[in-house]
Amino acid sequence: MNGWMGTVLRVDLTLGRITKEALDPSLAGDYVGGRGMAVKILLDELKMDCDPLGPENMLIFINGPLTVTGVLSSGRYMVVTKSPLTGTICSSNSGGYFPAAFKTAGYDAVIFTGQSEKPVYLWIENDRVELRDARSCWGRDTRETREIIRSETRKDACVACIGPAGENRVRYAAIINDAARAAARSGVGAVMGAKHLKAVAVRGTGGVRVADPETLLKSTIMADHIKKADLGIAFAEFGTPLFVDVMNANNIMPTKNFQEGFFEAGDEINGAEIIDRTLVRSKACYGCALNCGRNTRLPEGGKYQGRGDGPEYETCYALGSNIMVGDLEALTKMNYICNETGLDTMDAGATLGALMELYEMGRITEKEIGFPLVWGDADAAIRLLYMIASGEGFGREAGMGGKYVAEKYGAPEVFMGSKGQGFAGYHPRGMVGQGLLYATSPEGGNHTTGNTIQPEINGIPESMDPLSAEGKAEMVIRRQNETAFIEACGVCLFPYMLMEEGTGIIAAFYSAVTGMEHSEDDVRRIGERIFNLEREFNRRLGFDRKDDTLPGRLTHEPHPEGIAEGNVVPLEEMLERYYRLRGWDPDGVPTSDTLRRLGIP
Amino acid sequence: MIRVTVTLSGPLRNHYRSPGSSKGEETVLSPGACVADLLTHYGISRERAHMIIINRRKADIRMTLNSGDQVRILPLAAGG
Repeated sequence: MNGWMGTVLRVDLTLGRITKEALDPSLAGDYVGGRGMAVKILLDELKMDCDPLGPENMLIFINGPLTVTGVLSSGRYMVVTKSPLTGTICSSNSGGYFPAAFKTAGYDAVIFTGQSEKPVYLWIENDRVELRDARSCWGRDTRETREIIRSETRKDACVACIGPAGENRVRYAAIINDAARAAARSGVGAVMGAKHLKAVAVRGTGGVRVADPETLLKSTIMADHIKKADLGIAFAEFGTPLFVDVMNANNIMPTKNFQEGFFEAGDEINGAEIIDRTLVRSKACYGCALNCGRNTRLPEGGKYQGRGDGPEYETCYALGSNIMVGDLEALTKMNYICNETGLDTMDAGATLGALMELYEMGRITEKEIGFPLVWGDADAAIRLLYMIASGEGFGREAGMGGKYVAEKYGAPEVFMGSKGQGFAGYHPRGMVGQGLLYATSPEGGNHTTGNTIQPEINGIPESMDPLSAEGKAEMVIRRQNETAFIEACGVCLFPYMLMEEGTGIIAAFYSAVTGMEHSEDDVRRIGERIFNLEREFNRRLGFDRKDDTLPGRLTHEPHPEGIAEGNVVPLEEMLERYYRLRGWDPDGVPTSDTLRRLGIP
Repeated sequence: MIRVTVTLSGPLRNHYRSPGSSKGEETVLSPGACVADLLTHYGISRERAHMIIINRRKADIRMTLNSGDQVRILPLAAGG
């Protein structure tokens, strides 16, 4: 096969048994890879009502046919499972160098089932695959774990592992690879922890066969073009935190748990501040020309110490404006703690935001938490992050997520997310299409199942009124479908979702790699198939229209300031049209005609 | 003359006129000056000034400036 490696690994952790099987070519053709192929495998094999943290849940590490092919930004992989945070399907993706090693070792996917009795890690060195005792690193943070495993295997092994948060089954525990990249969302790290799987370490030295290498040379031209474009230059120099300026200037930077949209200290936590105060160097994932990663160090003699990566824009929002922390060094420290203990910064921020609001309301007090938790208190937030990761004291409850604590303490309305997962850093009252996207995302509050920044904020390919419902159902459907295909390919969304002609380019690359000619329409149809299959997964678990919701804060409380002043998200109006255009019934269930049209059995 | 406060975001910050103006500076312009004049003053092309915000509202380059205006000039950017 061109593009795919043709081999899937199966690891039964209960029996300690590893088997290899040939990849089914029709599965690859119909569902591509990544979240597409994984959701099909789960629908066929998973006991749907299983406990996400029980031995019956399946955990799939998967790349895509374009991963490590010379295609721009093709160093991505995904972790797909039934989420312990939302109870839905989830697909959490990450970059770095692990995905390249994983694929060049010879595998399209690793499917974990069961639960090991004692802690183990999987060591893959090309065709040699073994489960190893992980007692040496169980209990250690992600940085230490990487070093220990490298000392036990090879010093150039790429390691994806969990920290204490995953071991303690924090519902938003991440899997950290290459020390600082994260498959962060939806609690995939907790599923690993529950399976007593500490890490996957890989060394791969093979290659990937492609059908038409000459066409792929165009990727080099594209990389050069992107590097010289304004957006590419800005990404490389300032990284994603440059977006703090745009969102704050528009007054749609989620602030104080989405109560507001302008953060007074926004200029203290933006891309320029990182350059001036903490940046060591920009860094790129495998095969990428964007260099949007930030390797940083806290200044010597300061209150907080450490070196690591980040923050990215989403962390600037989640652990910055959302909880009113305007101290870049404190924010950076929180990012390091999340990376080291293996926590998702975004749901950590959503949970802290809900807790700070509950504390302000008097619903929760020092008695429960152990100390005051007021807006902007970075030291209290840091203390709580450590407690969450270790499961100590109130950290155990906070580790269940924002929805859990908001409901438990009698104010469910203060959780800012959908389907139990916290939102990304885009305030839907100022970009209502993003609200529709959050409500209908198969995994709840999420910015990688599609986002609406380009049309609603940047006016690309054409300007859309960010406050109006007009045209939003069509736009959201298009972006969700295109995103599903791009992610299934095993490449980064950034260059393709940001370019006007991104879908055409990905169709051309997919055709060149696989040798199977695909048009833009083909790409959108496959994306639509994947998205509907995820919907079908959730439907079988009882999810429908009643779960496609947003907090009342977004649909009923007018935005206080800026471009969106007075606006709310007209969700019901958009949702009705969205369902109709999707070919779903009024309950949000795909009709049999729709499933047939998409070739979903 | 009118005095406006100007913040240049990201890569545009290289266009500040006074050294040390990393988070904004006050600029003096002729009465009746518009956003386009401000861009000329700073030597920023219209293409690079992807978004202009005045007093927390979106503005276009024809808009006339008034004393006390808070102007932010932003390049094309995206989050993630």
